[in-house]
Amino acid sequence: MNQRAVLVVDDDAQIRESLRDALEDEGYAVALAKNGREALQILHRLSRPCAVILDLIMPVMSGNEFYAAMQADPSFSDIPVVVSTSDASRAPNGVLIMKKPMDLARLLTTVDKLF
Amino acid sequence: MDRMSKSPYRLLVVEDENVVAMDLRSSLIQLGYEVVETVATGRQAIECVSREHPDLVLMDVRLRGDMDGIQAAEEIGRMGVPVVYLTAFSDKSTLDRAKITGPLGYLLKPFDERELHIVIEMAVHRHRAQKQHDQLVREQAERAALEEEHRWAQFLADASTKLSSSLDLQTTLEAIAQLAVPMLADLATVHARTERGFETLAIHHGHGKEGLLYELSRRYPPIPELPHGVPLVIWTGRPELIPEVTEEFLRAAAQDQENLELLRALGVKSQMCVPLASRGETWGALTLAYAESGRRYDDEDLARAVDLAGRCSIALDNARLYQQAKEATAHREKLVQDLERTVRFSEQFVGMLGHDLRNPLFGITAAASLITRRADSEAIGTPARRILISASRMERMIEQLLDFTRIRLGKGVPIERRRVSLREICELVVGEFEQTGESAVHIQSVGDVVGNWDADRLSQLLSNLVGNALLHGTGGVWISLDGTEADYVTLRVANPGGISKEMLPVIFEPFRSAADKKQERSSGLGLGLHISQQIVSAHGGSIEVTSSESEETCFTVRLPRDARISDPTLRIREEISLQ
Repeated sequence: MNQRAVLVVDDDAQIRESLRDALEDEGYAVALAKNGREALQILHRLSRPCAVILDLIMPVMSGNEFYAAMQADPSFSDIPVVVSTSDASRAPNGVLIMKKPMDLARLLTTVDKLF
Repeated sequence: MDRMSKSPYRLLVVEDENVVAMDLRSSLIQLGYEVVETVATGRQAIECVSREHPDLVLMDVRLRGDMDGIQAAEEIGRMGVPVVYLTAFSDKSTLDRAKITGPLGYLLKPFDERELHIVIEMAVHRHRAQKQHDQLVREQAERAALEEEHRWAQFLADASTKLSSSLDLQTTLEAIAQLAVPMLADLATVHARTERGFETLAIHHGHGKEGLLYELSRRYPPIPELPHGVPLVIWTGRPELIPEVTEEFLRAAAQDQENLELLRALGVKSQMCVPLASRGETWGALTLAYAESGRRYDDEDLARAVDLAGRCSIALDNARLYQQAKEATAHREKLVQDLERTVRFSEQFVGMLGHDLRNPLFGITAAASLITRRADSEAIGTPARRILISASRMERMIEQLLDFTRIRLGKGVPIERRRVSLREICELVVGEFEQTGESAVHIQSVGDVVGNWDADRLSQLLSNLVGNALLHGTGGVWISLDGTEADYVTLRVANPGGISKEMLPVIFEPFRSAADKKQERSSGLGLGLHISQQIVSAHGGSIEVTSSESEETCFTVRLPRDARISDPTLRIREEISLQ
């Protein structure tokens, strides 16, 4: 079985790297992207199975735009997504929402359940 | 003679030669006249005239005594009785002297009865005609004066109406200048004393020379050194009348040759200037002038101008007061707008800040969590946990600020209802407190405590109330739930220890407990209870606090089970607070 992969999309480097460390500690293969466009590029070469932790407000391409692009592509539309945001009202429908700042343990539990 | 049938003319004869007098008297009686008396001196004649009021005096020029006939005739003429001279003297100087007294006839001695008769008839007739004419002229003058008085009264009434029709200062000033023309002037100006000198506030010219008037007032405003006109009137507060504006006057008034040319072109013939006062202080002057009409001002006109200026002053006082009130209102409105903008900005700023703070706070939390997970010694794990505890306190504050901002912006607390048990929520919240080491929270429940509520918001409410009770109470917290009513669930959170009488009425107001200097252990923003109240009212419920200073504090929350039910006591209380 392939190593489970998680793509962390967040424009805040501290958050990105802390999440990477925590997820790697849990045994995930972690990829990082600082905006939606980078995330889309990475998504193509990401091993399966995988999940996405997505921030919403980002420069270049927002989390909402990225999510819409994902949903439009049949090869990505089944990838589970957790939205991490400080403003839950902006989140697209039908995604798991974790409100920032969140409990790291709860986030890890949530991610574990995605696979 | 037909005129004999009427009452005969009554005549006085003044003749110092007795024979002549007797002769004349009998001739006159013969002619059908009544002779009231025959006297010999001027003084006797005057005395008789004042007593008898004869129709005519036949006066000899040469009389004995200290008064001759001409002198006596002068006096008698003033008494309104006509005189005919009878004399033998006809030299030029006597005739000239006699002429001045305005006699109605002059009969040279010797004369016959016919001549005497004609002269008397003509004299009396002319005198009466003259009297009638004088009477007519007097009556006409009186009528004219009356009409003038009426026109003036009408003018003043119109003026008062026009002046009170506007409360705008400039409009009123212009109305004053326009009012005076043409009734009282061909042109009118209103001047005021300001920091910049004497300023022209309004101008009106009845014959289209307003351009010239504007040029004059713009280029040659009254200078303070001028010993007449606007400066003098404003300085003394007394009106000024210049009945005749002469070339010399213009030369003295002109500041230079060009000014003189302009003044000549304006062609003022007569002018007056009256003070405009406000609350007893002269601040300006109304100048009225006749030019084209060629009319002249007199004292009566001046009195009228003063009258008009008095009315103008009242109208201007009103306009000024209105202007001041208007400016004050505008100023106040602007302040309120600025304040509202500032408040709104700061509230929006707090909201934005709250959102933006969450990201770095998550960075801190995530890193600190990672440390606690990786830590293999208390030496590292304990400080990392302290970071997490502080971060979660900060998180709560940010949440409160955001809630508060939403409330202040009128958006209220958003509620997402689903079927939840208040008991379960209580246990979860209490569990969290127990995790953080706080204890002695007792839960008691009767009946069905389920309703359609926002679980997260009720957790927040309970967390605030329990946290508050633990912080301020003197030991232990008692939560009781009462679900025995059909439509309501009642929640009580009680703790030993009281709230001060001063705090109790303002306890739900924002930033109160944090501002309370006596509170040493306060660690929040003082928004918890304010937000709790908003959460309860967003659910359609009510929250109350009772406290006896030394014994116990109890918060009572009544929650309708459903959105359709609202607490009637809440509505009544809102109505009371609205009043």
